[in-house]
Amino acid sequence: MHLEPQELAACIGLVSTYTAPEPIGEASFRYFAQAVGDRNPVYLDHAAATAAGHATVIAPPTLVCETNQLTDRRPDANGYVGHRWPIIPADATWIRGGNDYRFGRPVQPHDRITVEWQLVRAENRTTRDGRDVVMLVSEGTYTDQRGDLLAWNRETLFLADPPEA
Amino acid sequence: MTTLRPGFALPPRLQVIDAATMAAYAGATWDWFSIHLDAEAARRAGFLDAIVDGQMLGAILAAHAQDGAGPGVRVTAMTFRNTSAVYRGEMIRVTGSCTQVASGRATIEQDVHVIDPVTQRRVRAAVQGALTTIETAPAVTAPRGEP
Repeated sequence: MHLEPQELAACIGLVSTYTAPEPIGEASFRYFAQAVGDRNPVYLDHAAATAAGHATVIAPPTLVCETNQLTDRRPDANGYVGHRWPIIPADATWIRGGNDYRFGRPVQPHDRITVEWQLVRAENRTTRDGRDVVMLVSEGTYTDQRGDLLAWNRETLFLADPPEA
Repeated sequence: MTTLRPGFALPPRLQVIDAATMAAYAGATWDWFSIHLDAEAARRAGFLDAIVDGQMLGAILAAHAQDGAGPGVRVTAMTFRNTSAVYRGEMIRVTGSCTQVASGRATIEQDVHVIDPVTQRRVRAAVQGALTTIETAPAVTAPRGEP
């Protein structure tokens, strides 16, 4: 996949902001912990959480960066409900490059979270095996209803042409 | 809490990410992207089968670091790069060791490998050289938000 350099340059700095329609909630902590197999009691048990120095149960640390619960969007044709930059072709294959996370205070059940995404890099690249891809680097900042920092997430995605039928 | 020191090897974590797990993760993260749930959709995108969401490996890395360091610690930062896909039903092994301890924080360097479930030999690397920073003496969290 190759996009025009002007097109890539024009999208640097794009911002999209989402605010969750409701607090994130205790049930989301338990569901996520169950799904990933993380049995840390501070996510599930109030007594364990307070014994560990927290006022209440807290979220598994990466949940806030992984969930699309915040976006209140409808799934697209591929079942995807998260954020998508307009520059991404509809038939592109997405390949996750990786993430960098920084966490503020632990997420609590009553947090109503806002995420602001910004596209910070967009480049044509060639993989080691000679495949042309587009690299997108986005940064998400997650805050609570008071503006307190909960997390920061730098995400690298590679876009490739779908395989020929 | 485990006494972390440079060179301390965390116990490895073995995990099979099967279809039920992937469905649960999709629900828990509101991400029903078809390549994580449907083999045919994944093949159309160029994969061999439904693939595990790469971010899920981050959650597993965090669990591995916290479990290995002992109760009372908290992850404050992570960096990981996905080097190959993990397919539905594959077994992964997470390994890691402490590389640095300073000022109440420790750094854990971790890898995730897909392994053969019978021989437990490495098949390929899914994440290499991930760095997870944990706070070994977290501050008390004050209550926030509406009760």
